[in-house]
Amino acid sequence: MLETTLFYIFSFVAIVSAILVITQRNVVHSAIFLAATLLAVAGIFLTLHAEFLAGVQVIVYVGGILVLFVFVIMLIALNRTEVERQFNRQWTLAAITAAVLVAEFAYVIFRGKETFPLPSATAAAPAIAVTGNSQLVGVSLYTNYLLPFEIASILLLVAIVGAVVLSKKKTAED
Amino acid sequence: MKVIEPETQERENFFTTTASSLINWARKGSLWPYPFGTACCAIEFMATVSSHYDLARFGSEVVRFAPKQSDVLMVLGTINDKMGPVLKQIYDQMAEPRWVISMGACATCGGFYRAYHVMQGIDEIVPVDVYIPGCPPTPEAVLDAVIKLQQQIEADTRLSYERHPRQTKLKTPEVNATVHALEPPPRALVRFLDDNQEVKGPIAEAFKRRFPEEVVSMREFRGDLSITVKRENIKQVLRTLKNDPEFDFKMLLDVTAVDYLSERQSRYDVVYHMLSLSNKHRLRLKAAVPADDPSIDTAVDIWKGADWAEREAFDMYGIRFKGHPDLRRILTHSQFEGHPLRKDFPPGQRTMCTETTDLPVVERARKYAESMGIAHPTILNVGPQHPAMHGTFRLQVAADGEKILDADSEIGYLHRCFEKMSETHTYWQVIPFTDRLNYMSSMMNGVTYAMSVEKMFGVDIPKRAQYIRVILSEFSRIADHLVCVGTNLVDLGALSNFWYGFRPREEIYDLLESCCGGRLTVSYVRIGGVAQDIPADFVQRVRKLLETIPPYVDDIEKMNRHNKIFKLRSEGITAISAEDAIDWGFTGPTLRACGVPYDIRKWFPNYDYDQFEFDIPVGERGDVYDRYLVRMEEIRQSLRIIKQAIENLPEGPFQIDDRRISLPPKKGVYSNIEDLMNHFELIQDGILPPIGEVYSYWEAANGELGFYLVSNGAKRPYRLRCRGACFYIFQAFNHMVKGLYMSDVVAALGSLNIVAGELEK
Amino acid sequence: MNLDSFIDWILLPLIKIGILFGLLSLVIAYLTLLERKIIAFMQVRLGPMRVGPHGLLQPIADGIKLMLKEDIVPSRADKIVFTLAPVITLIPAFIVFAVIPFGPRSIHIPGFTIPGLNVQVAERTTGFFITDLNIGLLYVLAVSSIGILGIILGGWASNSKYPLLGALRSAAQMVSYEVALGFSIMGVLMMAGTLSLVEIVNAQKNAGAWYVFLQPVGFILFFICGVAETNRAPFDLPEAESELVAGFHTEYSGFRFSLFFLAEYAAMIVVSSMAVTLFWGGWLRPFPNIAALGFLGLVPGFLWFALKVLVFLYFYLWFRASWPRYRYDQLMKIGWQVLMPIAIANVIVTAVLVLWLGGSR
Repeated sequence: MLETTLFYIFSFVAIVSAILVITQRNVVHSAIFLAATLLAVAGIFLTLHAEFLAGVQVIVYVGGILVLFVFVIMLIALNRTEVERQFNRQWTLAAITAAVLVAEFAYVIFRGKETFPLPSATAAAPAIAVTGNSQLVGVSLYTNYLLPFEIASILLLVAIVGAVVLSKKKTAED
Repeated sequence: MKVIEPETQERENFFTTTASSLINWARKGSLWPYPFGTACCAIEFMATVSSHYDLARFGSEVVRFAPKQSDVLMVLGTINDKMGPVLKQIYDQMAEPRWVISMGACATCGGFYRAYHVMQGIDEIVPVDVYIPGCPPTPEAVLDAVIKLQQQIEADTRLSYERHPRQTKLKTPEVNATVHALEPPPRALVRFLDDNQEVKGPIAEAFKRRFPEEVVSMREFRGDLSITVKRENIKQVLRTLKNDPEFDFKMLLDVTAVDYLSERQSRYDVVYHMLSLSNKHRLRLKAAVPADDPSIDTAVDIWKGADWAEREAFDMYGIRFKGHPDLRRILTHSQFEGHPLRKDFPPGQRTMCTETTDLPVVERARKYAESMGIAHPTILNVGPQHPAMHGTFRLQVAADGEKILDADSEIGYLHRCFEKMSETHTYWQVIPFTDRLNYMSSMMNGVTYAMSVEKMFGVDIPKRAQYIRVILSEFSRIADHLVCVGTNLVDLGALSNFWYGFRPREEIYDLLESCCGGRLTVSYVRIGGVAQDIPADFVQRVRKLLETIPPYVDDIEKMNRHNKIFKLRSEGITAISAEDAIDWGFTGPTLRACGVPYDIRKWFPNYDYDQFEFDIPVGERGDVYDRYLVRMEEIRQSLRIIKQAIENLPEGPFQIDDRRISLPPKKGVYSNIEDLMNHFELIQDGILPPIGEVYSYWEAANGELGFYLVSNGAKRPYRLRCRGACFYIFQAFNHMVKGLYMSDVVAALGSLNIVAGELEK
Repeated sequence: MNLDSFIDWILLPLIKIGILFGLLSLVIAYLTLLERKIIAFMQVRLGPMRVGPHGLLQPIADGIKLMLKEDIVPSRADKIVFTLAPVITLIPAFIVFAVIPFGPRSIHIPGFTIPGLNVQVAERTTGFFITDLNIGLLYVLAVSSIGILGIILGGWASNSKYPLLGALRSAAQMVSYEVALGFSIMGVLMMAGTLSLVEIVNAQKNAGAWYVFLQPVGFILFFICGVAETNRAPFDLPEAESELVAGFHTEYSGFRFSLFFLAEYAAMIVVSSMAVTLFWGGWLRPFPNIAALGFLGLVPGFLWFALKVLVFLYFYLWFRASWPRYRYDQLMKIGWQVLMPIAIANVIVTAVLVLWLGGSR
């Protein structure tokens, strides 16, 4: 009961802030609502007893990525972004796309309901809490999902090297 | 504001008085000051914060440089018309409740600067709660003011404070505006100066050989060689003087002007003083400039150091230097009208100045950005009220993040019209003004000024007076270096050094106080000696000081010399080559840090300096770290000099026995008519030096301090020009900081020891 | 919900939160006095003396004054963000304390019956901490990383150049040092095998040695990064007075300014507490194996904890009184080029050793 209530609260916050992220004109305000969205999602993770994920979500997204977002926003000329035309004015197109997406999801969920039965909340949650989900995440990352994990690492490495090369090039021209 | 009547509302009264007494208790116990420091008073405020007085006891040591977080605006020092708008802005930004303490005579009423650019009391623009008298007030007086303010707050029944707008009203000081009219006309002086003499000597002869056509007149007076040339070819003459090895005047000491009003066909003289480090020669070069076309070729492309000096001559006299890249006003406000040092400018004529202007760097950065098609760089205004700018300098930078692309500096926020003031006061009265030039070591200014008048008379002062001057000056040098090093380190974040530096400084103050009663601005020097003999326990005190100072110096050394962070912050920062430093006109520790062992005490010794044993510390790279090392070593060398001087302190008179200069002995005044008349005349007219012009110079704490004195035989100086060492050092500053980080600016400025009083006169 | 779980999950935590919050506010206030007194001592001065005996009421006077000071919001500031920023900084600084174990699980509450209602309350044991999360360490890192946002937003919302520079400095600094900070505690994690702070202290008890002796490099790295994270000397660039006037909070006055102030001091306590918990045995007393010093066991655990935290706070103040501050680029260089490689090397060496020696598990 409590968990369901919390779930709805968090979901509501997440969705409303997500909408505000894209509708705010001021980029910094968008960033603040993004933080709210991310924190709400972390909250949802908590209701699912995925504490590790929640913690990581906050550290990586709020403490890391979002701070960098804001950092970059401040470095670039803010005044210009407020004046320039933004891309969130195509409401009709966006609405149609969203509707199609929702329809697709609904269809998939409806069709696959039998193949992915939702575990009953009472059965699964305590089991995870006892083992400690940090260990579970670690184990599954390094056994079942080792290949995707390594691929992701390489991808990130490439991205880092790319970023370094790009920023180096700029200083060389100066 | 709501005042609650005690009789009618007893219940409410009980609650509100309890609440308001609690609130007032909190407010008075937590007065965080905003130190609006500009001049000498700021140094005494620093002493108040230091260990001996410790303002922290009252909970007021939390110095906030953000006006919104401070409670009491402490105006420390002279506020001039250029600084006025800044003060007003800071005050307006403060959060209520706010109080203002006006420290010292200058902030209160303009002090003895009744002059064209000095605000006659800050109550012209901001309301004041407590005035502190004194010039400068002692730390005890500052503490007293804080207590007074606390009492005021305690008695305050207001619970909320409202903002009161205040209109600016301009007071014009009453100064005897036609003071020059009382003086004998400078006709005799002009005749004296135009008189051509046959001068011997290598420079004079070489000059005559090289420029037979250019020489107008040539004269040697009291050992100063002075050559007047035609203004048309001045550039060629100057260039030869600099580059020809026969002359080799690599350092331009000073450029200034003198106004002879209508006594001469060409009204102004532009005066160059230069120094050859290789030949140890000095030269004064002059060129006459007419009133209808006051212009002359610039020397900026020959010596970089001519830049600001020419701007100052333009500001003060309106002389246009053709080809100068940036001929703007420098000391006075951009809205100021007239050229104040012209003889026909009334000394007290003020102009209402209100605006704050951008420096040329803004325009340069904009143009550059547009030509390159890039975004405008951030324009950052540093100062004049920025903690690292020591209250009076302004730097405007175009920055890319933290990196400085381009910068411009502005001064004049403490321009107190010293030169005009000396023209309106007698020779004796000028001494207190000199104290307030480099107020960190005021003794030395007085000595140098007295030397110039003594040189004009051509007299030597008694040995005892010489030794007293040497001992106290060397102590002043130590005190100056301690403040410089201490504040520099505070700017870098190393707090405690400041307190360690101020303790020995306080003990030096005690010594000075025992001699003359003054701590900071001593006024101990008199023309012809010192004001009075040293106290009986002087030698004992000095000996004790010689023992107590070294441990403090060692403490600072231990904390910093090998400190990794300090080295990281200081090594290589604003390193300057010896050639550049000489070209800019650097002198003193800043020049010696570049490896040039130029020290007047060794090169042109007077006062038995040639008999003292001491070394000149030199650096290698001329960076912040080397300047620190040089200063610390100079402190030790000064102690060595003092030790030798105190052991050989001669007996005898402390004042010259010359009736033109010194007052006759009291016994004589009371017993015979000659001495009585003599006393009357000296008191009435002051001393009357002979007609002439001299340049005297001394190794002050931050470099060569020079006074160029022109006398027309009257009781006031006809012209007194102060060549402050830091004026020439600071003009290189905005060039030195290009390409550095914001934090380096802070480190660099502190290491140059720029003292506003001397910089802006 | 029955009574026992009500007591366990709501009543006890609420009481603890109340006590902790009150104590913490007091400690932070007096930390400012301690700072002024200790620095004064180092500078041969007295420090605050007049407000209360020996200045003991100074923090209270400062607090009242700041609260009643006019609250200025610059006209060109982003008003909502400007108001929000101090709160964003302060809240995480306080809620971090929820997982910090000040003492062991040793408070015994005997069972009793509420008279009249005839309700039996069971005997229970609770600890000197609000909660023991199984991801306690992660929680600390996560929550304290949110605080940065407040600083950046505060600097940006002021719409003034010095605060913005201060905000940029602190953002860059905190993000960089957070990485090294994270790596520096990996060694402890591997040895303890848990993210729970209580369990980490217990693991140190079982291992027979505080982790500072097993992870000296990790400890030094942690403390350096911790000082940098809290923007204190010699890493106090974001509010470097001589450079940026007052850094990111230049435009803040009165109460809002004091919120930033509180957050900074709270963060200092957090870092000190974390250093004590992770490396210095938390509430454990020193020399448990020397019989002659057995009387040390009489001192309760939380006092040991407080004592150790005080030592670290003293270090903070000592640094501030002695050292110059780094320059921005030097700070970055140290973070990325010196501390990071050492931290990673420490993680690898520890991992190998833990595997080789069979680890603690």
